[in-house]
Amino acid sequence: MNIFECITSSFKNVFANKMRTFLTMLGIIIGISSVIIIVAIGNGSQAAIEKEFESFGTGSLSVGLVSSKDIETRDLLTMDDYYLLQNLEGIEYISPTYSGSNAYIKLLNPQETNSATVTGATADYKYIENATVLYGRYISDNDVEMRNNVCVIMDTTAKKVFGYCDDSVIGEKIKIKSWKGTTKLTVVGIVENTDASQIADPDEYSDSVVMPITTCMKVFTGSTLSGISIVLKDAGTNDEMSNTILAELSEFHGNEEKYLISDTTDMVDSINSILSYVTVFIGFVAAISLLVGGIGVMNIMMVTVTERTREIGIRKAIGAKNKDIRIQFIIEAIILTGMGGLAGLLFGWFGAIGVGSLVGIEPVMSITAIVGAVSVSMAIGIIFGVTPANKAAMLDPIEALRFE
Amino acid sequence: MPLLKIENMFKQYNQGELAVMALKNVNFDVSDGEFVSIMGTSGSGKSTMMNILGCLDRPTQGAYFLDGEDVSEFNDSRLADVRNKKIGFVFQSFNLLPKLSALENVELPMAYAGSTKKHRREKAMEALTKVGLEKRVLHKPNELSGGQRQRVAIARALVNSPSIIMADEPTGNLDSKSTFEIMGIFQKLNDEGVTVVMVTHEPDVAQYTKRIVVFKDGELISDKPVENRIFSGGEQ
Repeated sequence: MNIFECITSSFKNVFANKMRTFLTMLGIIIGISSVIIIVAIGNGSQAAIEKEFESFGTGSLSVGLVSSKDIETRDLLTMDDYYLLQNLEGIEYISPTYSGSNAYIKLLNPQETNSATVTGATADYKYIENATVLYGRYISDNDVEMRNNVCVIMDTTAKKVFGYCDDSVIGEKIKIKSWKGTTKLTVVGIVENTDASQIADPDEYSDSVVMPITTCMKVFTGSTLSGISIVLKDAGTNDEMSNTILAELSEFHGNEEKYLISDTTDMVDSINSILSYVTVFIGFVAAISLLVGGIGVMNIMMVTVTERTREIGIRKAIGAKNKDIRIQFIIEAIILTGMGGLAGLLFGWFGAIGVGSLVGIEPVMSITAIVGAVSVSMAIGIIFGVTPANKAAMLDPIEALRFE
Repeated sequence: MPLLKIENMFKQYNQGELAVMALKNVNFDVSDGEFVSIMGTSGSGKSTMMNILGCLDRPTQGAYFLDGEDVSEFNDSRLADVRNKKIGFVFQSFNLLPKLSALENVELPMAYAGSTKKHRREKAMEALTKVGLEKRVLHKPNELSGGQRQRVAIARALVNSPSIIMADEPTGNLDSKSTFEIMGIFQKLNDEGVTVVMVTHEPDVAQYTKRIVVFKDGELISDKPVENRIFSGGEQ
């Protein structure tokens, strides 16, 4: 009997008992769909994290103080450190940063405020943050020099403060409330909000306002920097540049090991590796459910062989060889698991979209995952179908024909 | 040369501690074109003989020549081939596959022989026409009467043009009218040159055949041509 006919007749047999077929496939469907959901969500979060860090750019460093109790006044970073590092070779962009604390922004309704992340920086910060200016301009060197009361806000913030976001927002004023009182800032530019989680629900997050660092220090009466952000000319020089910067700072301040440089590439790598451990672990649990599904298939195939003993006897009497019978039952098992795999793929995909929208991650499906899921499920059919198929193939035709 | 030849055949079954000798030194042969009944009471060894003649079982000792080949030494796969091409089976309980139509049931041996779908359909239609069922080819076995089911089984036995048809109590589940029809078909086929070996315990049914071989306690005790043969058709 040729293989094509064998497949058609196996399909008939499998569908002769729809309820049983469905219940048997359910094990595989659940197994495959959970694997698909886990892989898609895992890939999706990996992609989201990478995208998040991409906005900082690769080869970016941020210099800060170590968190330790014995920090003395002379250790603190100031604008002088910024001027010092500015002259180093190999730096593409550099901006000092100052974070205004406990600030609120007044919203459209005068009674309402929202917490604001106020960052003081220089013109280079645009490139460090990879900011896309939608309207107006970014803060300039001139703004920094003149301590202008200007700011750059995000499109989502503009909508919340003014109710709309277009050219006419440029030149309008926003009010920032802090413990120092209220400060009016003129909006000179609107940048695009690229934080996926914030776009989904901007009300949940604090509004980000960037202003000239000099203005920021004036408003919040500070003189020490939160840190210095740097983008290198060559991403490959991370390690040497870090060492140079640390050495320069230590020499300048006359101290040792007071500064810390964090490197975004390292962070992406470590987060990804944690994520992949989690994915592998959950994947392992899902694989166990596939194994259970496979055992279910083997069990039902065993029952099928017993039920169809007489049919096997008849087929043998009219000339079916052992191998014909074996192939027929293996194909039936593969049909069960293969279709379960396809259905699992479908449910898994919908499941991944569902779970993804719940946790705010866009699932990412790869061809490898699709091909893998279908071939794994078919392989389960072969592995768990062989024993029942052999049992069928080795039946004695005389005994089988006598079976009632 | 006879079509099939049994030489000094013994068959022993081991049922636990007990060894049962089902066939004891059996010798006989069947020539081309014969119509033979194998008779005997239950436990006489006639079913064992049938299983061996049908290549479903192997003898413990002795030789079985079919078409000049000693098939008693064949492995499972070669025996399956012999069953497929040289032997056609007809059983007491018809043994059709319930989910297949009459036509598909008849096609099945050809499917295992590896012939093309078109050729198979032609030959199956031809065989069903021969047994007078050309109008019911698409019916499933449960939509057919006992006699019609047995005719489908005969068509299935014929379809690969075997050397010999083995019928095991083919009328055991049939009423007398259907018995008459089925035996008529066997007689007609035999007249056309098909060799038929039939196991039965009914003397009336054996009267349709040309020769009766009787088994008792595993031994062949009588082998005589039929006198006063019953004819069912108009071919006498």
